[in-house]
Amino acid sequence: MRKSIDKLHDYELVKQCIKKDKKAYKNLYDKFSGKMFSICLRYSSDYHSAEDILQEGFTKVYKNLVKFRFEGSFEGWLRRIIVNTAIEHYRKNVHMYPIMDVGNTEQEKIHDYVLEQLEAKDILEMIKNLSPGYQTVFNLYVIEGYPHKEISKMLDISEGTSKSQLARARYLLQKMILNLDQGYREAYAK
Amino acid sequence: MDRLFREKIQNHEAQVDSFVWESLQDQLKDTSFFNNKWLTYLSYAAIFFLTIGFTIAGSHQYFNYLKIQNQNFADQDDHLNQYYKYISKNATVQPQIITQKVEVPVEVTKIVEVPIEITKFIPSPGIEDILSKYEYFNYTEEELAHINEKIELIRGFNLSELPEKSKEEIGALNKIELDKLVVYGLENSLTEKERAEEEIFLFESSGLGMALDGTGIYTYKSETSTQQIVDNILRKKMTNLKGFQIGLGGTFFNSWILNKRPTEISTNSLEYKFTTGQQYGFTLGYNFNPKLGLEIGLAKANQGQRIIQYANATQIENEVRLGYVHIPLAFKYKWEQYSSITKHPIVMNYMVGLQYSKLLSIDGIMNSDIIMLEDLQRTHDIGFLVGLDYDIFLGNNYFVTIGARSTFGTDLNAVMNAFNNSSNTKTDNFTVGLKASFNYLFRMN
Repeated sequence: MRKSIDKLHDYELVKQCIKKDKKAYKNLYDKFSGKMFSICLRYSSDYHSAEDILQEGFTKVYKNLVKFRFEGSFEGWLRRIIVNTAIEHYRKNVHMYPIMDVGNTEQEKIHDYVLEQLEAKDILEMIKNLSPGYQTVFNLYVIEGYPHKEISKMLDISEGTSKSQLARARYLLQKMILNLDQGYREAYAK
Repeated sequence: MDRLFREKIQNHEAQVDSFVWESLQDQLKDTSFFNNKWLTYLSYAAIFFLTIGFTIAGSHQYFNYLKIQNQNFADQDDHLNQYYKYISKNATVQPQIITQKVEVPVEVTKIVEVPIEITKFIPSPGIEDILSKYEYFNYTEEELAHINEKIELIRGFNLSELPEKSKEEIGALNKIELDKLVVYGLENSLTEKERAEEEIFLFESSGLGMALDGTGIYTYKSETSTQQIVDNILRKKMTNLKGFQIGLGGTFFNSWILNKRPTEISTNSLEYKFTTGQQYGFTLGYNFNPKLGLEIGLAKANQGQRIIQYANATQIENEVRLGYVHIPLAFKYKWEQYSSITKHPIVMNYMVGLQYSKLLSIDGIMNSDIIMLEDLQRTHDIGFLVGLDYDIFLGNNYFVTIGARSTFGTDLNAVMNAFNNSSNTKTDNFTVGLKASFNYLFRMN
C-alpha cells in the first residue's frame, strides 16, 4: 500500500518536472540523490568521479523524463539510468583499467555474524577499494542482479571473464572483511 | 555474503555535496536551448531551404535566359499592336471568319491559346530557300483554293478607317502584295474546327509580316526567320496552360526520424542510418491560370528507418518499415517557358501544401529498452510539403514531371493535443526525395 502511494507521488513529481517546474526538479533531486549517490560511489574509485556520474545521470534523467512511461517504479527507471551512466564512465576509462582473466581463487568461509556487524558505509568503502573492473562486475552481478551473459555484453568482455572477475572480487572482499574483523578483535582484546 | 551485501547497501543513502545540485542547475540552464528539438528542425529547414534556394536561383537564371531569347523573337512594336487592335475591332472581314472558331481577338498579344501540331510545312511557290530545309508538299487544287481564300480575306481587311499615322506606318500593307506565304498545319483531312486550331498562315509584304491562325493575328518583322516566327507563335500557343491534369508516378526518397528518443540514453543509444523509401500513386490537378494551380494526390508509400541500437555494449541493426497512404494537397506557383530544345513548354512549379497520412502497417523489431516501436507508430500524420517540379511537355497534352519533394510529418494527435500540455513522445519524419510522373493535361484554353 505504502509502495503504491509512493509510486503515485513519484508520478506526480515527474509530471511536474515534465512541465518544467523548477521546484519539482529540486524535490526530485532531494528525494533520490542520496540513494543514487550511493550507487555512484559503488561504481567509482573516488568521491569526485561519483559526483560526476550523479550529475551526468540526473542531467539525462531531466532531459528524458518525457520518455518515462508511468508504468513501473520511477526509482527503478532512475536507478537504471544512473547505473548505465556509471557503466558508460567505466567504459570510457576501460583502457585505464584493463580487465584481465584471473585464475581460480580460493574462498574462505566468513561467519554470518561477522557480516551482520558490517555497516553499509564499511561495505561501500570496501567496494570502492576494489579495482574498477572487479568493482563493476561485483556491483552488476550482486547488487543489480544482472546475469553474467548480460554483464559480458555491457562491459564487452567474455562471460568467463565476468565470472572470474566476480570470483576475484568476492575473494578480495572476503579478505578485507577478515582483516576488518581481525582488527576489531585485536582492538577488543586490548 | 551476496544477499547480506545487497540488503545492506541497496537502499543506502549517501550524503551529496550541495555543489552537485548547483552544477546540475547550471548545466540544465546551459543546455536547455541547445537541446531544444526545434533547433534541430531549424537546422534541417535551413539546409533544405538553402538547397531549394540555390536550385530556384539556378532555374531562374536559366529561365531568364530563355525569356530573353523569346523576347528577341517577339514583336514589340506598339504601333503595330495598336493597328491590329484597331482592325480587329473595325475590319469588315474579321479574322474569325477565317477560322470560324472564336470571337474577334481584342489583343494581338493574346491571340492564341490553342495547341497546334505541325503536320506539314508548305512553303508558297517560289520560296526556294525554305524548300531545302523543310518537307515540301505540292499544293493540291483544294489546298490552293483554301490558301487563296485566306489571301483574299487578308486583302479584304478594311484599312480605310485607320488613323493616318498607322496608315503611314503600315503603308506597305495597303497593297497587300505578298512576298511570301507560308502555311503550317494544312491538312485536308482535318475538320474545319481542327484546321482553325492547327493552321498558321504567314504573310509577308514589304518588310512587314503577319501570321494568321485559328484565333487571330500575329505580327512580326520580316527579317525574322520563318522558323523563328513559327517558334514564337508556337511558344505563345503552347504556354498559358490552363485546365485539368491527371498524373501517374512515384517518388523515391530518404526518410529521417528526427527526434531521436531512446528510452534511455547512456549505454543504450541509437544511430539512424540512411534509409530509402518509395511511394507511387496518382495526382489530379487544376491549373487556374498560367501562374497558379492546385494539385491533390493519393499515394501508397513504403518508408522506413534503419536504426543501429547500441544496447548494453552490443550493436543491433534493425529496420522499421512503415506502410502509409499519403494524401497531399498543394498549391503550385508556376513559371511557364517555351523551350526551343524540346519545342514545347517547360513549366517550373513551386509547391507548398499539406499532407495527411494514414498508417497502414508497421513492421520491425526494436529493443524496447531503447526505443518503443509504438513511438514510431503514428496512425494519423499531418505534414507540411514543399516541392519544386519541372513539367516537361512532350506533346500538346502529355508531359513528364520531374522534381524534388520534401515533407515534414508529425503525429496528428500530438498536434491536436499541443495545447493540452500533453507531451509528444512520437517521432517526426522528414523526407527528401525525387519525384517523376507522367501526366496528361486537358487543356481549357
